[in-house]
Amino acid sequence: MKKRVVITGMGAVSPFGVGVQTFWNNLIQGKSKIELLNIGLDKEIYTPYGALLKNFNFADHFVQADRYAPYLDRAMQFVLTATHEACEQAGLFKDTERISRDRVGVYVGTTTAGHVSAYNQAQKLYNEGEKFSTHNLFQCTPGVWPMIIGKFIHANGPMKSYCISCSAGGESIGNAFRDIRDGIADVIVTGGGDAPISKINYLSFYLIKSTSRWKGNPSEACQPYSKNRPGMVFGEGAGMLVLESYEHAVQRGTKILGEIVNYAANTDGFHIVAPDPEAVRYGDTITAVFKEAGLQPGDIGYISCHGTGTYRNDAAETKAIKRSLGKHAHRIKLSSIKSMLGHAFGGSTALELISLTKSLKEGVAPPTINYKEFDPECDLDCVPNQCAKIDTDYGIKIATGFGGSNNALLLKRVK
Amino acid sequence: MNVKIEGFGIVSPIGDKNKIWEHICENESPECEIIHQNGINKCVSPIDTGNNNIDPKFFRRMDKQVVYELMAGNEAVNGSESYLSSLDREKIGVFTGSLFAQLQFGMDQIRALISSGNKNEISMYTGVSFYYGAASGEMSILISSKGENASVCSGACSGIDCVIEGAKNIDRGVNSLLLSIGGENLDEAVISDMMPKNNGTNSVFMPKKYFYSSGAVCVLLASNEKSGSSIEIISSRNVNDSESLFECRESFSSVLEDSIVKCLSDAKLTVDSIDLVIPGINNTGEYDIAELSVLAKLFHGKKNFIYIPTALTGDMLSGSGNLKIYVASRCMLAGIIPANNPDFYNQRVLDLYKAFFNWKNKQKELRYSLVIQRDIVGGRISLLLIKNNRI
Repeated sequence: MKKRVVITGMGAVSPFGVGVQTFWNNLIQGKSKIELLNIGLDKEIYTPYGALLKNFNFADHFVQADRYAPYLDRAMQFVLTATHEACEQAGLFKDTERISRDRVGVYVGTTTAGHVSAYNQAQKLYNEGEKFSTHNLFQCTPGVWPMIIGKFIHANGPMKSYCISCSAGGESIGNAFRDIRDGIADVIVTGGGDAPISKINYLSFYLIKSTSRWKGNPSEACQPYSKNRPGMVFGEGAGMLVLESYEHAVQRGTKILGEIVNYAANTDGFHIVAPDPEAVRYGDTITAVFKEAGLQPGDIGYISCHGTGTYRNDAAETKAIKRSLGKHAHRIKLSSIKSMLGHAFGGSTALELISLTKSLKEGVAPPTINYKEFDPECDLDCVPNQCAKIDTDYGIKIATGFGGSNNALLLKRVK
Repeated sequence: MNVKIEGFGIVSPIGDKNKIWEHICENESPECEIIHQNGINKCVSPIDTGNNNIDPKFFRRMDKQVVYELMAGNEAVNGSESYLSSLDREKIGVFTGSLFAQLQFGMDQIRALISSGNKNEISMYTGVSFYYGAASGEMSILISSKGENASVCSGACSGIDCVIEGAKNIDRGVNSLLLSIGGENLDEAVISDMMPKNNGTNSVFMPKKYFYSSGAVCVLLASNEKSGSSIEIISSRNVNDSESLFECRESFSSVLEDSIVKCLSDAKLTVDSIDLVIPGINNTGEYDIAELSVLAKLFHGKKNFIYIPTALTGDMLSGSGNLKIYVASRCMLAGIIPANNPDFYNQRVLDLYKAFFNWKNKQKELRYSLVIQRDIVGGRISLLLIKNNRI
């Protein structure tokens, strides 16, 4: 018997700050956190745009910071901080008697894991001769991350990191959904996080011509779905959610924030860094996620998009939505919050799912800011520049990434 | 479960899957070149780029970890070519995992950036090298698969967790054929410094005998209806002792014991049914001793049922769990429990448990095998129970 899977806790760390409410309040106001970064690159030549969480002090948000900090990459500090918020909201810390520890799992999505820690330690090695140590194993490799969270929340169930690509946050949440639905776990703390901003990572994206070449106001550097969109912008952050079976949540008497109804994923099998321009499989993912749930295109009212602001991504994404929803695609709203926050890699899909959960509940779609000019290849309603009212029971979070990985999560409003 | 093991592909310093099996049957310790060490040894063999179907351009743009995984996947699929062509590409998936992934390629780019005076002299594929899941996408492009992929990174349990997650996806009908691959490139010297140091106290292995090895192992999974294989996955478990992240606590034993019992009871079996155990013993000191004591308690009175291939083949970390699945499958098909080599083991520790270990090749009908894989840090445990349907 399949179980219903609900969200009972959410935590967000984004360039807006710490906390879901801070994240949401800034999103619906359409604020941009994008600026030119000081990462040792000529700003005129490389235009290193990004959205950073400034002045983040782990100890301000995490009581056991001293104990954990030596083992943590900046990304994991975000993930643990978001986990703390999500678990507190779900009541996991105080409800220990009614939760079986071996039925609690942790699934974390990350794309680049602790690459910044590796980069920093490599600089110390080559400049000062300071060797790598076992601490770097904890910081740099993603496999350890869920076990650190497991120790923090005393979870003895399955521990996994999902790392497929920029859609890793969705991959992690989707697999957590399936394992609760199928009775493998009662509760899974899941989501994703990354701190991908480094000189070397930025340069490689610059070389494949993905980064924004915008020469105007930095806050406008990311322009998803606009005709002359200049490219993607780096971001950072983490989104963590507590998923549990509906019965388990009701038994505990905890508040239900939303329901995940289905997850679907597939692969283009086309190119390692470029999406299939026809978006056949991306469209198939969207279709599968609502059709398998017994829904029709007309049931879907809003899509939270991947929307990186690159020419290829946004055009392929629009094509995928139209392939899947047909004429109904022109009746729904969709938006990209990367226009405000940049691309947080493994953190982005998880943060966007939190945004979608809030959208369904509050009846508001955050805007795609910096929208300037209509592009016939991106001819859907992307909620340009100002947030919009929505009233729908079902929304979809879609994501894609390198290697042609596509995934979609179907979310239901809880009234 | 509704899942069979259709085939394997292995890239290792010792050789391919048949060469590994030969060494195991003959209990031969292979000659391996030690590349670097810091309390650990490791060995690699050069890759023959002319002897596989991988485009040479791949070798310039990606780390050997991805190349190894592609080679292992290719070998597994080539063994089933006609079968592969009869399947729906939209149901074929690739699950890959690694502990260190493309660390060497990434470090090479960092060196290039630093030594060039911070000029822009890095590979345009540097960003891809920071992606732990790059091998899944590359493999899909290589075999034109369009089904669901995943990258499951659970440290040294990555490969076996790809098998466990892959089996779930086949059981759910999401995929009909799955390449589940774990692999490592350990050439990068900083890896020695990052590895946990076992000081030899309470080690199951003789000091300096244990070594880590580059390589990759692909386990090809298929649904029962689509497969003629007689090896079937019947149960699996992923657990973690959260108390044992930094050191082995007493709770580790109870978590391990409980998970083995549950893994067997999920398949309606008891310990009496198990003919072969390939344990998680991986040179982690107290964790190894705790595992042996749990096995001693659960399998009390049973003899000659433990075989540890990693002592001979090297510990391939994320590939190690998949290698164990290969060895267990070959043992079941051949009806043999191979001999452990006493030279590898710490006699003081082994004296307590030597009745479990087989010191000569032993012919026996093997119906059920339990494979245990543990991470190199913390209390993460993955279990897989497989059945030989020929018996």
